[in-house]
Amino acid sequence: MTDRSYGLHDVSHSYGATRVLNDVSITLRSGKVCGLIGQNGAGKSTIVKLLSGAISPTVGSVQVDGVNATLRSPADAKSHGVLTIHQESQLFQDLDVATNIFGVAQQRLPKRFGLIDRHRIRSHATDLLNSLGVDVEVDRPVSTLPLAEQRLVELAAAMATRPAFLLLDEVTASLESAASRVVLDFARRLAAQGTGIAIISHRLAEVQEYCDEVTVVREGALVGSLTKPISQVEMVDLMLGPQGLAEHDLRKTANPDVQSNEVMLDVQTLELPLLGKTINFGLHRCEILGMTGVLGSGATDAVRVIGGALAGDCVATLNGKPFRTGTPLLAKRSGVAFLSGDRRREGIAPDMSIADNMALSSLQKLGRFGRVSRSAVRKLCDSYKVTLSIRMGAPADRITTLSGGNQQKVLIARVLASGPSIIAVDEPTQGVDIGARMQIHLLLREFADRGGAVLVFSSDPEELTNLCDRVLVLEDGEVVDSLTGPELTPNKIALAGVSQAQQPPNFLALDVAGAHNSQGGRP
Amino acid sequence: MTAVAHVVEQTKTSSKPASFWVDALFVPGVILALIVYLSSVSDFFLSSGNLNNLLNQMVLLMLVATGATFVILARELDLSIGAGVALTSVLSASTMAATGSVIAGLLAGLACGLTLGLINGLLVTKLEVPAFVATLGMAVILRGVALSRTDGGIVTGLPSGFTTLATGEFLGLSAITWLMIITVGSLVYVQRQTSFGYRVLAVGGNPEAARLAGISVTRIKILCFMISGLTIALGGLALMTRTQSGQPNGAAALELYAVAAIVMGGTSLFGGRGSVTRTISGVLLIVILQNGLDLYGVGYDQQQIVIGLVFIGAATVDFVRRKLDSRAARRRVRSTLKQARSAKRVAK
Repeated sequence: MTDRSYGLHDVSHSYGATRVLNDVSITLRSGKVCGLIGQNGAGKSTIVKLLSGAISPTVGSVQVDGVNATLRSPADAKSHGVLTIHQESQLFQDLDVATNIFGVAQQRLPKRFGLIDRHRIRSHATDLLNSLGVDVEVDRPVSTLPLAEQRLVELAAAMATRPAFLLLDEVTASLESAASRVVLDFARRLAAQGTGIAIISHRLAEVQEYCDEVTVVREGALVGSLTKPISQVEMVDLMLGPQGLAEHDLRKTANPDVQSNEVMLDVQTLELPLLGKTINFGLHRCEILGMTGVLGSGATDAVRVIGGALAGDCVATLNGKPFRTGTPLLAKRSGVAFLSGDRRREGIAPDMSIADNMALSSLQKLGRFGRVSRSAVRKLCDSYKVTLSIRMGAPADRITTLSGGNQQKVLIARVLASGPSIIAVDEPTQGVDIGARMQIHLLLREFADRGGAVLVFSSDPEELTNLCDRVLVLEDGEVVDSLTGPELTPNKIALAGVSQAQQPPNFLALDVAGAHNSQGGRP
Repeated sequence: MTAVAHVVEQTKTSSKPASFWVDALFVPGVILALIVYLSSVSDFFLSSGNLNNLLNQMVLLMLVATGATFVILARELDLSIGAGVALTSVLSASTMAATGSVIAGLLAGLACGLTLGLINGLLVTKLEVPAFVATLGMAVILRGVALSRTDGGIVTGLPSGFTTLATGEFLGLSAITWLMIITVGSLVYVQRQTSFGYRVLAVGGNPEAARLAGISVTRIKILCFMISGLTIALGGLALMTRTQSGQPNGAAALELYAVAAIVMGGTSLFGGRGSVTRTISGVLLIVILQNGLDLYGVGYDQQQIVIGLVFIGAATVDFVRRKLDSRAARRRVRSTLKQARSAKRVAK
């Protein structure tokens, strides 16, 4: 493939009243893997939207091979050989792989006597997947494939149109680390064949390992560009800027001064609904207890049952009184509030204001006789804005004007305002940047220090190490390990779940190059 | 580098953007323009006779549309309005005729509407029947009940006590106008000021998030259908009052006018966004338009064409709003960039 370039030239962009990008230039080149990183709200996703043609720049231009081009839609970008794979899968879940490959590539379906030729669709799809070295059955509905394979199908389908540039927008966000590798190794191979690749990711380890060059954005401006060898420390420094660094130094949140031996939530039996097994554990006052395990281990389910998000039988006492759960409302009345990291689906009411979103779980406290006092709602918002240092405009602005990290803080405020004894949280910092992540950890720690307790599910060993006093590792619906104190390290957590890795899922057989098998933990 | 970073700052959000005002004031603006125009071409329009007439004309639609707004805000739909109104008037009238008691008749009507709302709510939440199907099915059933109870004719023979109530006036306004004012006022309060109103918006905006925030989605939705049921009952009673009879064929397609008024007012059909206040302006627009067309001597059949056109036209407001948004943004960035560049030049 010839040497081509694609990028933005002196671009500025704004949404409504908010300016998000300022004089940004960025260039992708054939055969190179370019990383794009930055905190949430730094302008990263706007850059992706501009590059993919979803929006056109307010000021400045998009350049193809150094020449200005006007992109009015993703289809225009595609005609210039630029394709984007998004965080959310664009596949039709109920259709089979072969049909999806034609759908994603937007090719005409082959016909015979005016009818769709199923046979040729299959053979075409098989040929394409074979040529790319992807081993997936073309007859299976996409929804039955593991997530990593779905991503591969999407990438392979994109390659059917022979794009010169491929933008991978958080494609590994929903994948575990082994599965991410499979996808990124594949991307690396495509680059070796001459495709220009851009990887947008929150996972710095991935960026460090797979990118030739990394561009860092902060507050809407380019603040630096790093070339191989890339150090994670440098990336973090650039992303956070001088102010963020001080906060970043606060690593471990555990506070040995306020340890308590009092069991606050005593779970005698908790039935994991999908596995049909039961576990038991105790949650101490002032403790942050982590639960982890691979998908299907039951760790998420345990946290969700306690929070009422998932219906399941649970015999437990909270502060000596019987604890009732089953729905979030019952759990809330018993003193447990649930918080999810999946803000878009499980957190925000997108049409409501920041203040109203914050007030949702404590409406009855904000007025009398069913009336809600608007000034009380605004006061609530103003006070949490300060204590949780939420970066936001007016309380009446829509919640969707905030970055992911700040939205998550609003949801934490919602949970805190309802006055729970215990917070059950599923992936507290999913899709949240490092700065906001540290702050969220500190907020949960403060809550525990003041006599509460937190039950956390996270799939990130490092997060668990920083945040928790104790971590339970689950496997197949059983607690297989309990880590505390010096034993609580990212490597120990990763190793504790290692016995599943002895039977690798079939997609691992694809191409896990020997060079890439260092386990999870970051330096 | 820092200089560049400093330029990125949010413009103050305290002053609302142009698009906000277009969105909030478009329908009231059209109504105002219509009133100014109609009063300039016709002396009769602002006469007290016509204004009273206008109020009486809008009662039925205003009642059911404001009630149904709760259902739409909760991301559901109520298509049983017209048939519910008809059945309420029939049941209430026949109870009055049979017992001679006004109170018993009114209570029968209210019970009819509230039961309808409860059944709709239970069907949608407990049995998970899509609201479109559940309420459409109920509409067909109710119309059938109303017609079969009366053999297709109207129910007359209401007690004289009711006639006095119906023709009575207070401060120059009829009884049903007062009914409308009090009901709509309460609904505005409930939707804007109570925790129930907040919860309805949350449930409509994101049901799963609302559930996880500790809100009983089932309960909220049932209550929304019951509010709609209540206004259906009041609408039925208003219809009976105006016609002095039970009308099994009355209020045909009323639910469609209600949806039109709600959407024209600016409430999202997909839930979570809008208000009862907005529905009031939607209803005013339809009714004033009808009244104006009446003044021009346009027949009922042709009026429907105009209302349909205005309905679709109102739906394009969102498009205009977005256009304005992007244009204003472009202008703003250009000017700040220019400032930043000239500042740089000065610095050099």
